[in-house]
Amino acid sequence: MTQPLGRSEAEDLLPLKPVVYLLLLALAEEPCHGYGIKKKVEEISEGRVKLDPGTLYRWMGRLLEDGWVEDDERPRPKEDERRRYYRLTPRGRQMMELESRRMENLLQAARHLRREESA
Amino acid sequence: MSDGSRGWSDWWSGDHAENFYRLLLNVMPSRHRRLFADEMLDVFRHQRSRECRGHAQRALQLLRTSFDLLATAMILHAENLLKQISPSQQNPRERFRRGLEKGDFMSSWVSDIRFGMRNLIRSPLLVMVAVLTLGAGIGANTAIFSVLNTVLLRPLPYENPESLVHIYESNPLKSWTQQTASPANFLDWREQSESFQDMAGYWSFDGATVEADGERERVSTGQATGNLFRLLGTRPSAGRLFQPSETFSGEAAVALISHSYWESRFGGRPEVVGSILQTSEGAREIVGVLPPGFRLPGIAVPPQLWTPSEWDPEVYGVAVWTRRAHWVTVVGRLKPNVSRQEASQELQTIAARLQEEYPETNEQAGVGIIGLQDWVAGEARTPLWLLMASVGVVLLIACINVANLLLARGRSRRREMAIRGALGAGRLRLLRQLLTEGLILVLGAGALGLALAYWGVAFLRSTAPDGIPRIGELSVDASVLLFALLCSAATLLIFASLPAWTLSRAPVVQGLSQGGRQGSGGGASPLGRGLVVAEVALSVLLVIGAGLLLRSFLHLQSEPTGFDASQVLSMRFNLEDAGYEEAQQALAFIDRAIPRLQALPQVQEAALATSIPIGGDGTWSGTVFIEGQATRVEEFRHRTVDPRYLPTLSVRLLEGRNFEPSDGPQSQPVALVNEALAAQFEDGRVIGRRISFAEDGPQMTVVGIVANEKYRQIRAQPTPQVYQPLVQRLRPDIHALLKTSGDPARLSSAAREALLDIEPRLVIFDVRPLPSYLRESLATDRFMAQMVGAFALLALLLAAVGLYSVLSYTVSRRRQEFGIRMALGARMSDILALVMRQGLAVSLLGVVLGLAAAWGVSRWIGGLLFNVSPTDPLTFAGVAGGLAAVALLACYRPARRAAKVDPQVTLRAE
Repeated sequence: MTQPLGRSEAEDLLPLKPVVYLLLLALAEEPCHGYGIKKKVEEISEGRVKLDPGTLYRWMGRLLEDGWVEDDERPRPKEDERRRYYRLTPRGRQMMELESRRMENLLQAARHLRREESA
Repeated sequence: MSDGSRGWSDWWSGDHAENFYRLLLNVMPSRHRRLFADEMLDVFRHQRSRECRGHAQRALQLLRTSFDLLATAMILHAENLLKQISPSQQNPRERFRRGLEKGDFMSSWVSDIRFGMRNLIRSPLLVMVAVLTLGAGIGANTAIFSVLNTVLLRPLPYENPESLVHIYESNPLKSWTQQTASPANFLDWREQSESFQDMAGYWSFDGATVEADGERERVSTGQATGNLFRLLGTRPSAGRLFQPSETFSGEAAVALISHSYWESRFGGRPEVVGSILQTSEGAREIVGVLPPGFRLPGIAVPPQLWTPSEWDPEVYGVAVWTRRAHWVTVVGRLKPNVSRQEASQELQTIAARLQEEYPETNEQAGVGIIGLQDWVAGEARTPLWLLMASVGVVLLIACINVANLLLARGRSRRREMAIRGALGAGRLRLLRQLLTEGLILVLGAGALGLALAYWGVAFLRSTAPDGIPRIGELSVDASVLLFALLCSAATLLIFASLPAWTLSRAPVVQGLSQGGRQGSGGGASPLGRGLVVAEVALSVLLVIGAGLLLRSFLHLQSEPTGFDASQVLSMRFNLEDAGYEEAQQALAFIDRAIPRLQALPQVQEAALATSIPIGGDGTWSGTVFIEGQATRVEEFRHRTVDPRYLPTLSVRLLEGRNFEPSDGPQSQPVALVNEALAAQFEDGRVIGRRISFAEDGPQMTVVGIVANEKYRQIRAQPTPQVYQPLVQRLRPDIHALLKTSGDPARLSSAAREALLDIEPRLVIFDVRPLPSYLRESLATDRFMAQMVGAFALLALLLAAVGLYSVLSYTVSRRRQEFGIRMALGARMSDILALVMRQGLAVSLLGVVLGLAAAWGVSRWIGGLLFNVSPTDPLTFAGVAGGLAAVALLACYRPARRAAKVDPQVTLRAE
């Protein structure tokens, strides 16, 4: 279920909603808990995207359900013991990378266009 | 209980906010809630503690996160619904795409929401006013509903409460409508009736002194027949409850303690069960603990200590006094398939039989039954529905105001609507867009309202008078949440759909041709004016209600009581605590106590009595037999006082003499009677006549007539009273009353010490100024006057704002017209008069309609009023005048603005 999708199947799902992409990015480096994800999203978006709990968990619910993220059950330091940690599944990572590549391509195309204009 | 005393601003930062958010989480679909509720709360908490500084930020965060939560819940519920309707959505692969596709209901709705948000943000003032007024309305309604829900709707906390009934005695001869039963009658009902599974009785009495760990304290006490708790289906927190056999054995030295007493006195230790408690009623074994919050209807102060009634079968039901005295509150549980009607008929038959059998005590004695829940709600029913109706009116007015705002705003949006219509948006789609905007406002208002309600409930719990039954159970529960939701939905329906409907109906061409310009005529639409009329009428109705209650309350406060409680300190003690073996010792104590108290600095008078007029008890009632007169006085109150009582409470002596020190225990028995009793002496001769309390009882000579003192209730008509000297009829439960020249509360420790100095074994309790009893007895009336008054004020304010804004709007639309009029020679005063006339016409119509409505419905609160007719002309006239004045004020500013129109400027603008 959480294995990567076939290429065309996966690309079918693009483009991702910005908030989904940000959530995936927030989990890219290491597993994280709810409030940590929220802070990370704020950091990545340079403070432009502030998620309140309702919205945050609506999307987390979807990502969990579709197998893009999963619970990370490794032991934690005592103060965090009771918190739930999330991490990317291979499929989630695949989607993040596909979206990154799609955006890079777009950006490249745009830069190319601008160079031609200025030339 | 401390909730109410905390500052309003603290609310945003305290645990309240978190509890509120936790409560709100209940609106999420249950699956989502199970998965994420804890985490969401965690994030919420971190947000508050790490990101918010100061009250303003906290308040804003609370509002924002609540809104976010409600919106999320709405989307999740909608998604679930769609999943059920079209299962293809369940395919996860489809989902992310489908969500973005055009034409899909969800996505177009999401775009509606987005568009609506953007639209609303452009008029922040409108949003603020709408959210604040509607939020306040929803909040007040929800808070009051929570009271109504707790007191009237929630089932009583007993097993199968619907089959429980209260059984009472009635007697037209003694003008009793609902009287506690006499033990003997109760025993006969119980034995002879077939309709009941069982019947039980209980009552509270003076209290007892408990000695434990070398400390002595006064506790409140209750007695119950041994079968009571089984009948109610009560389960103990520890140990066991009473057994039916314990009522008649006469030797069961057992006791139960209340849960709160268990915790406060014994630290909730389970080993207390089985231990022996030394009380002034003897040593008793604690056999169990009642469940937390256990209360019985009809008992004002919840007993801390319960004992089983020890009814000797040789005496109870046999001795005449057990049929004459009435003190047992009776509850019964009907057998299944027996209706109240049938049970009542059976009891009537039994009562008729008892009348014949015991003519001396049971003449005209009847019996009645009422569902326990109805009985408990009893007198609180009308006040609560009145409060509910009042807040309902406030919300309605708030809705009308917001509807008017949207209507006005809508008129300037005609053009936008017309363009969208021309571009192919269906009428339904336009309607949906407008409703969505309304929904966004309602969500905001609902979140605010819930927060306010939550705070309001905490506030009510700490301020509502104890006279409202079950008020201690007050809480926000699922049905309250549901009510808030329904309330918001109704709000949406009223305020948003009216404007939406009129707007979406606007013909496209007309909208395009004139909508953009300032309208040339008309001003407020007939609908807008009609709404203002309605709102003025509603506020008149409410203000009249408040006016009546206020006048009634003032009457109650100024009603002569027959005594002057001001600057009197009252304290209680029980002579049993002193352990005197002989009456002589008690008399010696009294002899020393009065001069000692009188000698205290600032004390003007000091007296001892076994009862106080309002509050407390310590009296008994019965029949007076008058020498040489065939007619008896069926119902009187017995009071025992010392000679200083009359001067201490400034009770007037009308005729004859007061008690004197010479009226000693051994001398000729004497009595004072009040006016109400004196009036029943047939030949008018009172002084010197002899009276007794039983046909062959000891006789007393009446030596004086005193003015009527109100007893128990200020509302009540004066009842016959007989006073006997304390020393001639000694009872152990005594009030000391001290009339002071300063603040009575300051005297408490000195007075306490003076008494303890004479008798160190006394336990002194209920030390408080006498006026506090009076205040307490009026607490419910005060509360009602304040609450309805506050709601009326709010309604008035909202109506004034509504009137003002509609007129302002009209004026701004008609500037051109005024300009032209002035250019054609109208004077400023003409324009002023024109606008004023229009505004006043609308409001006067409202006032007249409001008066008519009030005339029709005020009868309904007649029972709450004291010495005020429900159609009191003064109140009606005053309110009509007052509202006209308010209307005048609300019209004046817009009218002046109209009069100041500069014709040159307005005409050039065209």
